[in-house]
Amino acid sequence: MVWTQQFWLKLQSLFRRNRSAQRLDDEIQFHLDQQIAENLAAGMSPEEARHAAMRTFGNPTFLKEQTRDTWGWLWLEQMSQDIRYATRTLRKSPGFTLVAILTLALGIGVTTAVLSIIDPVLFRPLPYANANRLVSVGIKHAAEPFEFMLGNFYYDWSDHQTSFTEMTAQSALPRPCDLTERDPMRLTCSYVHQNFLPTLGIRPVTGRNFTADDMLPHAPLTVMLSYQLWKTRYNERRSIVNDLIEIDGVKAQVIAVLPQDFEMPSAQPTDLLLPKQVDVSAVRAGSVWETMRAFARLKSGVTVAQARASLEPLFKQSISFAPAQMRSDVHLVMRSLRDRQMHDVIPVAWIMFGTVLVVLLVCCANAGSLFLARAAAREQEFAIRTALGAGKTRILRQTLTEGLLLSLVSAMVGYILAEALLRTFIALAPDGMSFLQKATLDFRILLATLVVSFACGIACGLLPLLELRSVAIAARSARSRIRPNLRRILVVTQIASSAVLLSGAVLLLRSLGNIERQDIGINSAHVLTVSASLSPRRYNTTQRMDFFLHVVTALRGIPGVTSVAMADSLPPNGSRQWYSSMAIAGKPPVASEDVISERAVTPDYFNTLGIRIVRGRGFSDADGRSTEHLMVINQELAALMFPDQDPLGQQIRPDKDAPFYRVIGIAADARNDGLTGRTLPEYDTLLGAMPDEWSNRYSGTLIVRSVLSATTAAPWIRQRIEEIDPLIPTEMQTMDSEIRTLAARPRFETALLGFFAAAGLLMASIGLYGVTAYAATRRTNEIGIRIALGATRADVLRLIMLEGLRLVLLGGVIGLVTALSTAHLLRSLLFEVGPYDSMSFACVAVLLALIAIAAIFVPAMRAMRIDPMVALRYE
Amino acid sequence: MGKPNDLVQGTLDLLILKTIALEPKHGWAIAKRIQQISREVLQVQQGSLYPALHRLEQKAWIKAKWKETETGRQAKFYSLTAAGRAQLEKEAANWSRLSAAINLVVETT
Repeated sequence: MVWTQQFWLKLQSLFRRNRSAQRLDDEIQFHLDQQIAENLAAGMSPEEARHAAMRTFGNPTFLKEQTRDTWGWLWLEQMSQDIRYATRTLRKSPGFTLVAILTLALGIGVTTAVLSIIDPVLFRPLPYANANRLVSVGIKHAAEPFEFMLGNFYYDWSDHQTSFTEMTAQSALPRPCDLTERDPMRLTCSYVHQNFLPTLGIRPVTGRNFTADDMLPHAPLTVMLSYQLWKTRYNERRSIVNDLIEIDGVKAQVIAVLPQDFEMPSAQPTDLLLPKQVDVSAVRAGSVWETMRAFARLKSGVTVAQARASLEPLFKQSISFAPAQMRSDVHLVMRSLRDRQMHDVIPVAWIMFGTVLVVLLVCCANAGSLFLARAAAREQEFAIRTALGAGKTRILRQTLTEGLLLSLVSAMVGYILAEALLRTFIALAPDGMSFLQKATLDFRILLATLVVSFACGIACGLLPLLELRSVAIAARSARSRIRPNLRRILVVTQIASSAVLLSGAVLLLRSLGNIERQDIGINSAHVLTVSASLSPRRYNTTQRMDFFLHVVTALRGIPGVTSVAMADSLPPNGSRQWYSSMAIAGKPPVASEDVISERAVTPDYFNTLGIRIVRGRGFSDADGRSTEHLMVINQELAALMFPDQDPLGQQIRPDKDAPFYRVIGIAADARNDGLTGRTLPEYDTLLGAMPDEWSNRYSGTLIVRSVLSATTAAPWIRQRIEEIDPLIPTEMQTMDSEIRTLAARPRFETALLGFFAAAGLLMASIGLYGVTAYAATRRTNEIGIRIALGATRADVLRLIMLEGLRLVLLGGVIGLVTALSTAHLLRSLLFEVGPYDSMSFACVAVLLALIAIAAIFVPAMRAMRIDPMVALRYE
Repeated sequence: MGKPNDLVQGTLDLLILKTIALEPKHGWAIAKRIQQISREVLQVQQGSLYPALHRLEQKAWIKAKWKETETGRQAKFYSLTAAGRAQLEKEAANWSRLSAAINLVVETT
């Protein structure tokens, strides 16, 4: 019962504070009245009676406060007082508040965003059972980024190895495949061994694993669906299991649906999982060649190094049959699955992790510097409050409240910033960084952010007091100079590093501009590309030719379409071949390391893409019907093969087994090695009406030039193709967007560096502002004296600005020198911009100077406006 | 300034509990009573009674009720709770033991 009364009283005094206070007033008033009445009865005058009563009672205000204190809510009252006071003071200096919030929010936002991106790289759990026991096994060749496995090695090793409980494999590369049903789709297929899912510890959402029978060559085809495909195409219908679907014209039975978080250990996206049907004995004998990626599960207690060592003899034995050249080029690789997946990203992630911590520290230091500048300006206020009886702890609490309030607001702003940043990064991320797509801001990081911002807040709150004490004591001692110097060094470092970042960003920006503005040799405007592939199971060579030629003719009939062509590849890409395998009729073959590009095209290719024929002529429709082999070469190839001869009419054999082709024309160079590679020598052969020109061509890209907009033309095109074969899925894109996609990586790199440069610059200017403002405030008195002695406002402005400019100059010079001496590191990323591009560095210097001057100018202006009378009375 | 003259806090609590043990009293009456009984020896600063009263109320040793006095005014009357009575007995016993011990020490030396 006791506690109920206590609880009730507490509640009352909390929620009915005013009423309780009123009651206390009544109670004490009653007491005083009683005493006065008694005094009057004793014969005092009314005045005297009141005074005597007050004397015996004591100070009512103080006693009331003491009484209220026993109610136990004083801390709350004081806290709300503190918060109200903090809000008021912060609102009174919006400039300071804004800059401080910006600083902290920037630090918190950047940290959270970058950590959210890094977190899945470094710490993401892989979606496999006991993923840390899984390893990737293979042989590594310098030309290949990832280790691979050869079929005969694989079967030999899995028979004799002792370190794994299980070893499994998948096809080396996922293959494009088509769902040839009504409303066809282009998909990605991966082929796996029977124990693939069990080894990884994955169970299908529904259905069964592959059986040994499924793996036999020519067994009825079975297939597993990815969750994504199941959801989008089959509406998560469970009865899909056991149904037949048609893949590349072959019926396949759906046997399972993969879990939602399933991913291939090779991290390649896939829509369908099919059994790798191979004749194992033929692979073992080496008569069937198979390349694959192998994965294994370590026995418990076996380390990666031990397993590697135990496989080494098997590797030596297997490789001993290989040619000597190959033996020296390859080595055995075994590494944890995580290492394989993150490959070259891990070191980058750690560097970013470190950078971001430094950024956060600098932000906190800058915020501290701002608080300090402000505290210096508020010294008087603190002094008055102390004089009025505020205890040390009360002032401490007040400053802390301000710091915490600021950091709380900053945390909120920072979180919004982080979310925006993350979305921007994800939107800009090129295809190769698929892990970025999965990055989200998570709860743990939010919590960490809050902790960090509170720590910042507490540090910022405490700093002024520590500093104030030391300022008071050390105004005349030498030690006080250490701290300002530290701050100056910090600011110089910030300016220098932002100059380095800025130089890099400007160089990349110029390079990106060059990439996007360059003439790639084709006219990509108003061009749509449509890619399609035909399964050899449904189409023989002649049928394929007929299909594509039909489509070309059909598309030509669409109103608004001006020309249509087809090619096996499109600029700015191409297929590669060695120059040395080519021969000119009547000349000995040459040995050359040059790589050349080859392409097979229909007659209208050149005019559809707007590639100029410089000499001779392009292909005509009549050429397509002739049996003669013809060829158009580009200017590079003409210069390479025929430096002092007329190429027209020459006979070239592109390959040992190929026939001779007659050169009929020279085309202007167009990019064929990506956007940034140099234009390779290229030859184009004809895709005409001769079936042998179509052998081995299963897929191709149609090029449609029209005056219609892409959205108008697309349904027409789709409809015309459907009329010819409704089961062929197509992919349509504008040529422009295809080219833009190629520039995604440089764009991402530029955006990333640009962002860090901007953040760095912002922080450097805030730091500069803080230091200058602090110095100006500390010198208020001195400035007052100077003005009183006849210094003009301009003199004062110069005095303060010069001090800041010294820091800017020092930092800027250090930064630019560092940037110049490290610029060569960027060379591989730059396109048609030298790493020492004077224009870029001039830009950086000017930009840096402008922003720095702006940062100094604000506090300097304030110092200039100091009223000498006020300044002199200041102390 | 907060403390009653020469009165330790615990002692003031004991005095208050003892004073209202017989019948409910309001603050002024409690102050008067303490002065009377102690023959004016214990000069309690009257105001300091109130923090003590409220503290005891928070501890639920005493409870308060607003009632009319003989003169017809509203006043807050304090009375002992069961917990307060137990506390009074405990503190009174402590006090007797302590004062007896002090007496003994003072008189024998």
